[in-house]
Amino acid sequence: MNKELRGILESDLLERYLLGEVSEQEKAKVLELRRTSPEIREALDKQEATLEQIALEQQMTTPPGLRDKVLRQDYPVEPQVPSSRLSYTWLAYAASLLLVAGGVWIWQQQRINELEAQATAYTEQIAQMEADCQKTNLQFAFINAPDTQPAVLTGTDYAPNSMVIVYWNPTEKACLLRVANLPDIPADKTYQLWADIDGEMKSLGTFNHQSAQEELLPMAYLDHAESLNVTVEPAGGNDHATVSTLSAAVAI
Amino acid sequence: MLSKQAYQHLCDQLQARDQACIPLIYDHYGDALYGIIYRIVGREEDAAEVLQDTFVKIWENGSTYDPERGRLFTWMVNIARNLAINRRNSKGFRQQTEVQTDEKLVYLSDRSRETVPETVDVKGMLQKIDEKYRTVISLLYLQGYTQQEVSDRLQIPLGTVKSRVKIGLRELRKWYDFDTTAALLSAFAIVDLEI
Repeated sequence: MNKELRGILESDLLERYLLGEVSEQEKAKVLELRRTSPEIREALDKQEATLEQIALEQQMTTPPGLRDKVLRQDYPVEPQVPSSRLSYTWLAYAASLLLVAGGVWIWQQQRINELEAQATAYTEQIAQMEADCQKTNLQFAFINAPDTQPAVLTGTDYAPNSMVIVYWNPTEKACLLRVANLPDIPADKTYQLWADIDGEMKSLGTFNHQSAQEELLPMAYLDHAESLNVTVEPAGGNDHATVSTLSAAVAI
Repeated sequence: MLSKQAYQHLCDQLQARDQACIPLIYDHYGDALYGIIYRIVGREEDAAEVLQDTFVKIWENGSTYDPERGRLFTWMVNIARNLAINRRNSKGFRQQTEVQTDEKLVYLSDRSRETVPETVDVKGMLQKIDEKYRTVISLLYLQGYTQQEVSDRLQIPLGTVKSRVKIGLRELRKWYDFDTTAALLSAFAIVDLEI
């Protein structure tokens, strides 16, 4: 940073500018510096954001009814015509009024269409959010049920950093799976969850490990499982577990 | 505070003279602008009128607003502050407040010179800085006084006012940076917990 910029940052010029206490000449100088110096621009941006935050924190509730008054004021869309140039005949005046009225009508129709489209979009959004919320509530209740045991499947020599959590509920005979970490696999492969029952691996279904990182996935449930295991199998799943690709496991 | 995207959209609407920006500005910034106006004029009726005038001015000059010259909020605050100061300095306003002024002067002279004026709440970032800086910044930014007026009112040298503004704003900026970073970090922490 050069000496002049440092001098400006150390002076009170920027503070006075933000508080509106500068001459026109000083104002022009600050605006020029803002345009040409990233340091000055950053200092001003940060300070403006800080002052904005303070004003928001110190806001006061506007009196009831003021919003309507403000919104009902006249906000002309067309630029104002200087009075010295107003020399129309009554006919031209009436015609222009009609044009403006027509313009306003078209604008209003467009606004109505826009607002209707917005309302529909919001309704869909709300319905989606309600459905998501309901799903999350159900899953939350399931995870927190006294009979639900979280089983943490940890990595193996094949995939040492793996971690998968299965929420296992023998009373409800249901389970949910979430992936904390599993290595990426080729597109023609899939991960598959297995339950070891009496020495035999029974499939509880396949899953996409990336989707399972973002949401809880319901998997099949089988009684008398002694352990849970995740293997890598051909896309579509396998009838028999490929033990050499065992990526995560836990005894339950 | 509005998201960066929503803020940009608002600026675009104002510049394009889209009337849909008026309710948006009111809903997001109406209370903040009203707070500044009210602290300058001190009366609800006048503050309401000045806020209405502020919106007319914002609309009239909207197409000339240039984001390169500063944030939209700063631009709007300058309009609101100037209108409020004009109202406070108008002859009609002064005549109306003559009776009240006597009471106010007695009250002010009884107060400790450097306490924060009662119209500013000690909350948010302002509560994090020393009172002497808070007082000066409140009077200048939220109550529309000039540095000279603050110097006269608090009976401290103008140079002291200037240095307190500078140090106070610098301290506030540090807290703003800290709060912004903390908010970001906590957002990341939530994501981590979910996994």
